[in-house]
Amino acid sequence: MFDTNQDRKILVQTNNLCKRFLIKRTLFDAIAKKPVKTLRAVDDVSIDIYVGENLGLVGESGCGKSTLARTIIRLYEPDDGKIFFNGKNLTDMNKNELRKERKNFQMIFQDPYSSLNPRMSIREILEEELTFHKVCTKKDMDRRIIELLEMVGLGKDMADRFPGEFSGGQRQRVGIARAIALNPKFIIADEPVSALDVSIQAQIINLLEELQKKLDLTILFISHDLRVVKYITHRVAVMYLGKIVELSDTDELYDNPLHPYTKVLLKASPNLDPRIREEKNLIEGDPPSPIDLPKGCRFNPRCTYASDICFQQEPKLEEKKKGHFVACHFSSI
Amino acid sequence: MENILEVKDLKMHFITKAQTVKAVDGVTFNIKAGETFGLVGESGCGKSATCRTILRLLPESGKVVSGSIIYNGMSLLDLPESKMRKIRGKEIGMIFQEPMTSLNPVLKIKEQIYEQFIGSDMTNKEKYDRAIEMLKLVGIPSPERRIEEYIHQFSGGMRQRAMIAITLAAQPKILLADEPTTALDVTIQDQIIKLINKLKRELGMSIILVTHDLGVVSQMCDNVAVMYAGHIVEIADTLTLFSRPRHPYTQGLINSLPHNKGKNEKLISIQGAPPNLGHLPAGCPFEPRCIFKGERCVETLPEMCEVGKGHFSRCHYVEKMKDAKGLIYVGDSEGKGVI
Repeated sequence: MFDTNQDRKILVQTNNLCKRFLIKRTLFDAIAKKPVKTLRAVDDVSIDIYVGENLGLVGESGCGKSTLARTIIRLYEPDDGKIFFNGKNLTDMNKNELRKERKNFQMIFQDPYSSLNPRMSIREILEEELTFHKVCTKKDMDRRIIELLEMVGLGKDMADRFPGEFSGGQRQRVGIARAIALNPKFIIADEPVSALDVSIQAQIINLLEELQKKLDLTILFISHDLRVVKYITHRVAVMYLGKIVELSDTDELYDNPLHPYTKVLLKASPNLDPRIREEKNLIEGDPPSPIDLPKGCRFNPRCTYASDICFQQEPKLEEKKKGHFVACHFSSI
Repeated sequence: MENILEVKDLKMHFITKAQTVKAVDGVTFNIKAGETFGLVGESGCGKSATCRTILRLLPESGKVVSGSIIYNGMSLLDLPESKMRKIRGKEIGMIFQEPMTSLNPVLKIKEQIYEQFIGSDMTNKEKYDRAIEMLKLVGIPSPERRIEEYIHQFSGGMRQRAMIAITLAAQPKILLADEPTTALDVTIQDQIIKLINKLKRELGMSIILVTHDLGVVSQMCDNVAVMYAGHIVEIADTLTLFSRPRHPYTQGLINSLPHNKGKNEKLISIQGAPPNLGHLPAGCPFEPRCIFKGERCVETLPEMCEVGKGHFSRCHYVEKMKDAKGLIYVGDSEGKGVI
């Protein structure tokens, strides 16, 4: 079990990581000499992920959660900043070095329908990556595939079936088998249960927890479902428009949220007690566009506490309590 | 209060050459004026199909095998199509999960609201004023400008608001809401839930809410029916359902929620997956996944039996669940309603 108080070894570290996307200009804009606009999907993110922990990453759609995760494993090239994996600098690696390193980090995707090749049997899907990374000899292949399938709760007779024959939950199990096949150290689970029905969700969450303990995995768990995140993660990072606005141990974050955005998020998941129904809106408006960010604090247009300083200065992510980081000028509120 | 809609023993099957899929297989419920009624269940359990049958929006293969739908004394299944068109949209409106695919991308919001007034003798000025009023009602800022825009110019939450405005412009008596908040972020979901609740009170309509999210049910519904494999398996008022679930499937759903569970506590999931609606077992469809199952379950489908006032469960062994824990506790020994 991961202990949040022990001396912790860092597995993944990002320093001031930035990822920007250029917005295409039309010909007319170019002739009119309008500047090229950029979308700052990940903006100056520094985060440590410790060995053996399950770090939750939450936020609304479009806030950059998935982009951050994909930039960490260099599926997107970072524009700025550095990434260290197990002490090695990932940012400077060339293609060959990176390919060797890749078997140490794997990904589980949200949609179990589009993330498996429908023309490949489960055996072929698993064989492909075991062969590519040369981690398994031909002789051992059968044994390894059966072992993997059993680990994720699928029978060995499933190996020669195709993804189309499986239900959503079973497909997600295949996705997990694929992710753990190379014995990775680090897994990015990008909304792994969001597309599943409630009763199946619980099965997959239990499976992930079990595998994490058994295989000593470090997980970055991306989700917008705060109840699931509370249950499964050890620490949580809250993202808003490309920035991390709060980072803390899970229990501490849920008991004592410091950032006004986190407070709203926590309250926004519908209360399960039908006797408690509030009528007032928690928050007005939508998140602003990440292309034209507001000046100062990004949350200021929707924040009820916003005052002058919030429109002038962008708050930095600071440690307000031991292990509890927050980026807000008025975080004591 | 009087029932505004009565659905009785409704069976709607998708019949193709290859197989018969029993999407709705004997569904009975009543809706009172001003009530929000929830239909909950997992994907493929027949909740959306029930809604579409009420509006008779079925594909060629969808056949109503038996049952009746009575709206305001009229039998909807027997109405000629010309009469049904007057009910659809005007008396019973529907909003969908994904506004981007259910609204017309090449018509301005204005034009889509005006469509609701076809057949009325409103002047253009009246139509415009009414449209602006609707947009204001659902909380779209600067409606005079937005009314000239297209749906792609709206953000996710605003799109859902626009769809609600368009549907409600015809002042329907019943609103069918099919997963209206599922595609939205939590903060926006919260806004839409509160908006629909407010509009229901102000306009005095009834709502049938289709959802898989028990949180949304808790915040919106007066009464709830839980569906599984085309059947309603449990029906009760919201508080009773959440505090004293009396069907193993409802209990399974509630236990699956990672709610108030400690870190080392395992989630109690329902084993297996929902059955194929093309090959349903003869007995209780939940039998293969049920932890309370007994001999009778394999052979006969249980009848709905009353376990409390207005509380029905479709289970042979309801008595086994007498002490089952719900999500919330009402009137326990300490008298606390803790969640």
